[in-house]
Amino acid sequence: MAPLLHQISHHYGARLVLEEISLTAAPGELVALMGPSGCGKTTLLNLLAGLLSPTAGTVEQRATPIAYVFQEPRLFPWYTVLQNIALGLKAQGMAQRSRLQRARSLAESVGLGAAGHLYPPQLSGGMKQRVNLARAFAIQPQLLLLDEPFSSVDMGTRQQLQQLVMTWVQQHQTTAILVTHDLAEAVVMGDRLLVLSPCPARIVSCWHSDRPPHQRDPAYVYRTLSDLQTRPEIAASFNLNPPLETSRSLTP
Amino acid sequence: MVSRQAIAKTASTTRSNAPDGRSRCRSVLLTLVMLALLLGLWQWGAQRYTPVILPTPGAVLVAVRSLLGEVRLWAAIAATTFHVVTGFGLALAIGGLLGLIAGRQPWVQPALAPISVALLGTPPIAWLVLTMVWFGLGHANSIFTVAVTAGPLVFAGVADAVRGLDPDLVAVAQVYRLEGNARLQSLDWPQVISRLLPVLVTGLGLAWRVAIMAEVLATPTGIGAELNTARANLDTAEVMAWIGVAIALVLTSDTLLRTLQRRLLPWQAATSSGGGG
Repeated sequence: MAPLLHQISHHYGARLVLEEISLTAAPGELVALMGPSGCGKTTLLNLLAGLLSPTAGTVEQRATPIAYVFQEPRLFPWYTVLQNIALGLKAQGMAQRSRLQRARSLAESVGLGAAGHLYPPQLSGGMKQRVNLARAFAIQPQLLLLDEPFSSVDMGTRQQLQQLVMTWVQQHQTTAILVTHDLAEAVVMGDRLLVLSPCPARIVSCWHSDRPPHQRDPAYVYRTLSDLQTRPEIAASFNLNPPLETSRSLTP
Repeated sequence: MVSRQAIAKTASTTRSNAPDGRSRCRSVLLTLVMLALLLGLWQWGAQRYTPVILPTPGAVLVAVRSLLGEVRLWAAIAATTFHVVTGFGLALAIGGLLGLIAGRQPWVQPALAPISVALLGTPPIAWLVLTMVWFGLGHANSIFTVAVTAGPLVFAGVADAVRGLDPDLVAVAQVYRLEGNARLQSLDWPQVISRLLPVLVTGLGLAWRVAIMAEVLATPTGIGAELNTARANLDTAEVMAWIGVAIALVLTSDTLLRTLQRRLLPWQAATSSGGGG
């Protein structure tokens, strides 16, 4: 387990958004982070990415390179799909021919083999998100940060992209931190699930998956979901209502 | 996997928006019909009035042909081009530099805003009156009026372009460690140029019009000065021939800049045609 954050607190002005959060993760582990809207999940990722400095505590992660799959694809509109995928490689100083060659192979692997010449405005939401992912994969990151990357794509694309990320993390032994609002997604993808409290965010619950990614079948996911939703600390964090009596009476 | 059909469909949105052969033919035909109508109307009007009021299209064509064989046409074009290039060059240098500073330093913009607003609000003709007092009659009138009219446009355009760097893309550049020259090539330059070129197209169009106006009133050389001479000689056909020359020049410069724009900003065609889903 490598330390990532140690006793981090962060303020926006006078408002405390994160309170004494520590985080560790192992190579090849995917940690899912959940919490109510506005609790500071993206702030946590921004701290890990070095986009923000904490007001207290230390960022201890030393991974390099880091890739960040933002919630919105944030593609450079003046670059084609291939050029966008190769962005991080350009920053690393790789020659144009080599980086475009690698981008082409990554575009193939995320299902965009025929779209390499298109510009972002010509892509659908799902295609943009695939480019976003491929751009992250291109630099073979040690630490992969994912901020609700599949929230705006359809169900089928979401499943494909989830599989892509899980396979990548396993194959390349990347450490991945996934922020999501979807408990099912967290259960399917996460080796570990951390639940944050409402603002200021603290880690209030930690759950470990007892199955490797490829064995998380629908029956396991449904069972785990219903188990997690009844945990008092998770219900409190998301302000969930207790199960209705009527729903029990309707059950045959 | 995204299917090839889906990609082709998404990409073809761009192509389907481009005019196909038939619709292009139709638009060319419409243009020709409109032109013929206009010429017919002009000919009809010319027969009702004297040549001093409205010469026939044929008479103007003869005047243009006669101008094409004369050295003064090329001398006038050279003089006007000199006024525009020098004036607009000054506007780019001074307006661009101040815009760059204003874009980078937040306190400069409010400091320069009143001057910029005052310059933008002053009619070019007012500047011309002042330049006649300051410089007498000569090249300086046109050059200064062009510079002082186009300068504030360039200033505002550059300041907006520099200040408007998309923070989301800046964050991407930070995460992927895009620095130095790579960042300049990949982020700063494309973003600035994509906002700036449309401003330059507008600014240069304005520069031609202002230069010719200044030449009519206060500069002894250039297309405007020739227009003035033809007017004094009551040679309306030649006046209209010079107007034709001015239109051709503005169109040429506009076409050149738009071609440059298409070459430098190929993604904008994709943006304007949309696509995706």
